[in-house]
Amino acid sequence: MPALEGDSAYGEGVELYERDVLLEVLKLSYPGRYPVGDSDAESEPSTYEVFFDELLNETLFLVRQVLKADLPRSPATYWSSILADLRAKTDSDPARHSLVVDLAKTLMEPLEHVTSHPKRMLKRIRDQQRVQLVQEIDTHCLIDLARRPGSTMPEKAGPKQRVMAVTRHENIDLLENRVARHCCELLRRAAGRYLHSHQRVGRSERKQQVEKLFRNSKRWPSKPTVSGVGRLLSPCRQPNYALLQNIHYSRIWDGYSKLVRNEELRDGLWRWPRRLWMDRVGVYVADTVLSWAERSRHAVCINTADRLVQASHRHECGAWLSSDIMPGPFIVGMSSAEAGTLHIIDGRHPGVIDAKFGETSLLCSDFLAFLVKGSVIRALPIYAIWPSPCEAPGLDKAWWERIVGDVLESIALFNRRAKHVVAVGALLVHGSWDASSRNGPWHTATRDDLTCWQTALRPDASSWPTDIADRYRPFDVLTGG
Amino acid sequence: MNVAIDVAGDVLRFREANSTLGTTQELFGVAGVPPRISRESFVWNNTKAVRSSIPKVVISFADAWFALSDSELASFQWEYDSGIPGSRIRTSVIGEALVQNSPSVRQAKTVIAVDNFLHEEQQELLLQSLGAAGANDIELLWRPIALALAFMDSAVRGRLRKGDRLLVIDAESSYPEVTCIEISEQEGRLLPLRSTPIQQADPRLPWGGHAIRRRIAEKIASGNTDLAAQLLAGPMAEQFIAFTEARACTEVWYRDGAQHHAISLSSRETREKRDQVMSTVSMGAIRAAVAEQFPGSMAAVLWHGWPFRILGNQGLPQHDEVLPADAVARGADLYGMRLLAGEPAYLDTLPGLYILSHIKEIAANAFFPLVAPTHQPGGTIWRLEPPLTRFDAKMGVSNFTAVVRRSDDPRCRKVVTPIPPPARDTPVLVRAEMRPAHGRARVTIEGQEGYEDVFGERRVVEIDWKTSEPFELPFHYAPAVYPVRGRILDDDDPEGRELLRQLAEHPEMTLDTSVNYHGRELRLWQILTPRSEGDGPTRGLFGSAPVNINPKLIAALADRIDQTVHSQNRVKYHNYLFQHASPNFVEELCGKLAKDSPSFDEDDGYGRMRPSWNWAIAPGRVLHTADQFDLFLRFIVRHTKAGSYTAYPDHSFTQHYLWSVMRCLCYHTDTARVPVNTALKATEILANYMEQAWKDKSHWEFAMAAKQGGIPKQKEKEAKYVLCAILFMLRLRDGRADFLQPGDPLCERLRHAIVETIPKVNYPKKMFAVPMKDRLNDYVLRFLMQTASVEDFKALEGLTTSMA
Repeated sequence: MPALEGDSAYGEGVELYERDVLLEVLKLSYPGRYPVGDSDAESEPSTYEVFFDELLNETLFLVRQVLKADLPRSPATYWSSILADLRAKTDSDPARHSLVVDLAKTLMEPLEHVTSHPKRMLKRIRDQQRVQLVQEIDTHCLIDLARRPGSTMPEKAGPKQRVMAVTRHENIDLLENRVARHCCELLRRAAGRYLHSHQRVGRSERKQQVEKLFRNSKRWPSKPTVSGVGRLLSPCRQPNYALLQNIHYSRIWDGYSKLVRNEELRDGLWRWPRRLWMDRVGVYVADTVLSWAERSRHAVCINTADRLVQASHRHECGAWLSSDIMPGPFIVGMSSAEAGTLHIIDGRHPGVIDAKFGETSLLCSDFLAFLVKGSVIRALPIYAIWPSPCEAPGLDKAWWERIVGDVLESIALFNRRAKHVVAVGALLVHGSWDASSRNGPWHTATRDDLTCWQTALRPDASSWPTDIADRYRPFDVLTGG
Repeated sequence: MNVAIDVAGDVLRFREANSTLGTTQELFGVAGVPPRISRESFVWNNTKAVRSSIPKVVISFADAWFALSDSELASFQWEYDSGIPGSRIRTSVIGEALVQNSPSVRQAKTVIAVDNFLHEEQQELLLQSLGAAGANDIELLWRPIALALAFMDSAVRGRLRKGDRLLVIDAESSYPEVTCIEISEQEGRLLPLRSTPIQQADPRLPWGGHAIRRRIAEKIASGNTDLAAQLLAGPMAEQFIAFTEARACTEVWYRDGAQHHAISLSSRETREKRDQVMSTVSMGAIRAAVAEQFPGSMAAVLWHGWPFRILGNQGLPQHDEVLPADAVARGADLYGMRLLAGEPAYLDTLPGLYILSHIKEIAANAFFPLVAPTHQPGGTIWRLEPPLTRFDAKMGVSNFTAVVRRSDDPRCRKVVTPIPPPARDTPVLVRAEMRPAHGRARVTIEGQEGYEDVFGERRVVEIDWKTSEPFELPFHYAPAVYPVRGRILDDDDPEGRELLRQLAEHPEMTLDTSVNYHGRELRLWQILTPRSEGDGPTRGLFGSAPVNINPKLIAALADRIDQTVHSQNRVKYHNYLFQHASPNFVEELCGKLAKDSPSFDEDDGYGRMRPSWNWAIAPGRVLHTADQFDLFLRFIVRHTKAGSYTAYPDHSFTQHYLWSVMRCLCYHTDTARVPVNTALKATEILANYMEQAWKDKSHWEFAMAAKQGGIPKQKEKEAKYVLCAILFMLRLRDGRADFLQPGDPLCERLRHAIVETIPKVNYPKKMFAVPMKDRLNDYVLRFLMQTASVEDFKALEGLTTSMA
């Protein structure tokens, strides 16, 4: 990923040498370049970009609407209510609610008005003017007049009979109009992304509104009335009096501020897609394990705790959710006497529960599921995979097999070295921005009693299937169910 | 709408008045999960809530609640995710916990039942905690009153009458409490009347439900404190509490490291452990101990608490009743509904609060009531009307210093409140108001009319009780108690005890029987009679101080007096037994005092029946409780004509009544609790006596004495008695600081009579430990005007030796 903001590199090559002999060149590719400015405005967003936006929207919905992380004091929220909110269909409109939908309702009228009747201001300019037309002069004009040769006004006015005077010219290139124009550009971009991600949605009131907004946002800046309005070099941060107080401009400023904030956020997160994806996979794992516990065939299956979920009000290198928030522990077993405890924890700090778990840090997984039964500890590492933008749409058989081979080999190696923990396999969750499919199929591969389960997911939690046995298989295998 | 909350430690009970079924919701083992980051709050409404994979410290609600009674400043500490330590005062989380578990507390009138012993500071802490959590319409209600209300609501009509007493034994308060509640009447409705509780001595009673449950948990955990804590608070608590209360329960899982293990609460082993602990609780033993503490008949004895619900009321008297678990919540609910309807619910006794002021004009100190110790309907505010106007804010003074006293605390406290320094001496108004069970009195200072700007922009300054500190008064306002001691107590007299034993064993012995006592041949009645040996104190066998002696021996002596003495000496000898006098004699005496025209006639030893002074002396020796003294004072008042003094059946009895009044107060602590109104009437009679008894100085006695430069002996004795009666009557100031305050009309009459009317009399011989330079009148006057010095107070130490 780019090390610095503004880095425009697409990829990087890492050459591996052994005693001056080149062994291999690892080609690392970055996510596609962030689309900036008008140059990309008319181009269709890539499937990667659409997927990223969908992921970002889902994450922001989780963080802002469900967890209310931007409130000064966030309420206590449990997995059960989070998952219910994420799955809920609160209205009949198939198109998703979004900021641009709100703006389509609130900004159409003020932008229409402002672009038709932009605010004007008379600009004072010193210029040569015919003597008989002079209306206003200032100190500079007087100095200029005094310096001229001659003693009478006709002499000083010279052959053209002009002197320097203050003249007034009408001007619409004002900050508020530039903000309105920039707002139109941002709206167009946001509406375009929204419409692209809802290509397959049929009749929808929201979509219609955004379509209208999209059309208008292209029309407004091309109106002759605003042809003299310049572009902002960078997003406006400091509003002027008109932007705060004028009835039309203040509404535009409110919407513009939100758009700019979202754009900046998107800009910032563009560099951290895997971290963003890891949060989403965390939600998926929580959803999976809780659904599994409800359906479990174990005689004893008790969720001993309601885990509180917390998110930061700003992301930390792409991650919003706090660490160590996974649900559980669960007590599972065929009877009380032989029940074990199932823990789901972050892969970053596996040793928090017990020092014995610490050796699983070698697995470098994003999440870990442990079953502790007496002295036996079984583990299932879970990986959030964010394929390269150029690879993902494929996710073909070769891709799956290549991943499986690497993972199972690593786990086998771990099992040979680990003293306390035995890994039963691995669960891989890929980002799937293949526009043709919603959630990818399940791929299972077994080698030497180790199993690798893989699937590709869309970020939308309501699309996650709950009735596929494959989804729960990894936990069945881990717990012996 | 109102919400009632019963906090029973491990169990929280909520009852909402408008709930359709009127049921009580129970929450078990409520615990608070501390925040991981500063934006989070404690989570109280889910016992299963966790924030981390590893078990972190949680605060149990029971601990926070008990901190209110034990150590209100104790803090709970945890660690944020960032590693920064977090800390909260335990009591401050109570409001948060209650509001989270019953959100309607924020909008509805909420009644919370609190311990009968919850101090005013702790009440304020609780209210602050609830206010901070967004609950502002809060009513605190005493648990025993809630129980009494619930009981009275369900009692059969006619079962209770005005004046009845209820005894409430509560094992679910923070510490077990036993409370006696009187039934009063207002607006035709019977109401419980709460009196100021007397703090139980440490150690606390051992049969509290909270303590028993902890003992059971510790026994089951076999020393594993982590397991015991998991059993008492958190997800397992409901099952564990059901198990302790012998209700159906399932197995529970506790966490040990990374794994969970099951405990079967229904197993024989765990049940035996529980039963072992429960076997230490005996309702019969508790009943016996309580009966000793609260003698007299009770209309009902109400038991509340889970240990009693398990044990049941088998073997207890018929009028004992074990109340159901939700009785407190039900009582609190009733209280809330009555408040909303504007109906009286219960009566509370406000503790008196007095402020000290110096009266320049008469060179005296006086306490003025800020809060009168009255009976106030619960939920209403008592206000001082009219406000005090005698204080000034002095120019440039930046602190308003007040010396205050409570009626239930003999010590004074100094409260210093910063005020904006006034530009000139300005008269101020002192207002006070108090609400039962809602913290300390609110006392404010403000400029009087025309001086509203005395404190600049602040119109009113409130007294800051946090600055309160003990203050030693530089003067004394009342004498102490000086019980006379008998030979048995003083000398631990084995011969005296032996004589009593012989008397009990030998029916032929009478009080005229001669015995050898300390080498002298004396009759028994002589040993019983107070007498002085040489310069020693005048003492009888018994004194007014209680003696640790077999009551059967005293009963035998009393019987022998009744059987063998038939003259007026019978009364005299009974009197010499002081408070050990036989119940029959006390009953006989009280019976006479209760009558309108009792006969004091006794055989004078010559077969003639004459009124005996011994009946007038008897109250001074025998009566020792406030109720008995009240009876005696009411007898005096009843037998005194308006504006006169007691001369029943004739004037020769007057001095003995004076003596008895003085002695009852001098000998016994409890007598100072006599009702103030009765005491004031009796004091008025003392004033009448002083004003009238010396009017006629032309009597030959005065003429004869004047020639010798003195006053008649008899009159001098009477003057001493009345002065001492006034002196000891001031003991009532211990409980009522505004009793006979300088400046009061009655106090002014007494002062005038002491100075002007009665003759100046010398100090009684042997009465004072150190010789005094002035006269007894001056001495009494100094106490009356509250200017007596420490030396004056110490000088009374010799009083025990005289006038026995």
